[in-house]
Amino acid sequence: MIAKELKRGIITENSIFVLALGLCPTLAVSTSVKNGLGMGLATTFVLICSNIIISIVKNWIPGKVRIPCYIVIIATFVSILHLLIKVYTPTLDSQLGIFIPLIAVNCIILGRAEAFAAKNNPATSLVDGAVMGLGFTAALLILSTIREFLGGNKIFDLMVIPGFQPMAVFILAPGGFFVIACVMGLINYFRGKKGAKAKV
Amino acid sequence: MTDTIKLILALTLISLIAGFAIGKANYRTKDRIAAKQQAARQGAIDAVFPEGFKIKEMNDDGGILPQKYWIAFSDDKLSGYAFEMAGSGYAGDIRFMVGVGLDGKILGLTVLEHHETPGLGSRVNEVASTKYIWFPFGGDDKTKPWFTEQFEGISTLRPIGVEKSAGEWHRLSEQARAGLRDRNAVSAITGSTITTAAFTRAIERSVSKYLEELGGYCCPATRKKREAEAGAAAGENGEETEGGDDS
Repeated sequence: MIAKELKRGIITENSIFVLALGLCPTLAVSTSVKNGLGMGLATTFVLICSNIIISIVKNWIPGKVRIPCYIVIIATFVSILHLLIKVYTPTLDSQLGIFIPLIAVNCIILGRAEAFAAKNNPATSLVDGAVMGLGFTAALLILSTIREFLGGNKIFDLMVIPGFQPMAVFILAPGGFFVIACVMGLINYFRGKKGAKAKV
Repeated sequence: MTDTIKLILALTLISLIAGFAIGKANYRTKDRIAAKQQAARQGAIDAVFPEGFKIKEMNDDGGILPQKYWIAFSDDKLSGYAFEMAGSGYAGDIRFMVGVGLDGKILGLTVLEHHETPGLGSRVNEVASTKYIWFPFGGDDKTKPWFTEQFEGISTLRPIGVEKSAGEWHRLSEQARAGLRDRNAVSAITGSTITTAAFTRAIERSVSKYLEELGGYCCPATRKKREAEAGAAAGENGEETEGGDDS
């Protein structure tokens, strides 16, 4: 069951490559593996916490004000997380800067609250938050590895190929789009192939 | 009607709980965050002077000089000043500490706080590593960010150039670096010229003014005299010790 859930979060319902949610922070922080990892884990934390709380309180929230309520809950966790990051890893705070507070408006989190946590019990919501967060983190890791290598000849701040001239465009937003498009295309190509085979 | 009240109640209650939780978290972390920031600032002051300098904090009433600045002694002789500056970068203010020798040349520079784009402007703190992923133990282990290192030796009394075409400092040859120094220029971070210019502009705008005001040593006396001559009271006092660029 866990393997199935993991596959759902990381591959079949991957938030970036399949659902195409949360692309703004993805473009912004997938410039280096360190940033991508930090952002992915931070988002996973918020996703798990908000999913649990929302699935607990869902029955007491009137439908008309559910979105503002969800946003308040999400923003609360983001604020608390921001304080914790400032205490424990100030360097991550200075690297990610504005994108930590902006986790509050990441569509994946509100998306999971609305699509999953509001209809399921706390335990399954926890699992959903965890696997979706891991999927987001995995996607960020893939993108940031490619972008940091092509744009800076580095992976995890370590040099890769001696004498390789990095292409700065991959660190910039356009390069981010190129990489996301290529990876998405590849994934769809292979999934399409598999689907076609299954039909035959 | 009762429906409306229900909506208001639900939202109010959730907001109250949320506010309480954040307040609690803030209360429990604020001392530690302040301590971390204080330590970072102290580290920054130490880092802008060469080793062995004795550093003393000075206070001013916030006229031309910032309210707080630092003077450093080497062998009991006044050898430099440090100022906290703020320049407007691509996203918000960049706060940094700059150490200046008596000749107006920069001794060191450290970034305290910035909100620049990750991967672009945030590279002000990037350390140019020569370690390879295949063999992470070799290569030299630098600790100073290349961007701030290139400011060492730049004169604050002349305009500071920002050169884009030269390439980034950490990839330049010794000759190219010497050329930059001769032209009193720094190399821009690729794709982040605004960030780079935030530093040079803040320094150009304030440091020479401060140095002039300080005269040589013992500034407050010189300052008081000049103020009396001008017969004008010092400008408004800000609360923060921001680089004084608003004075």
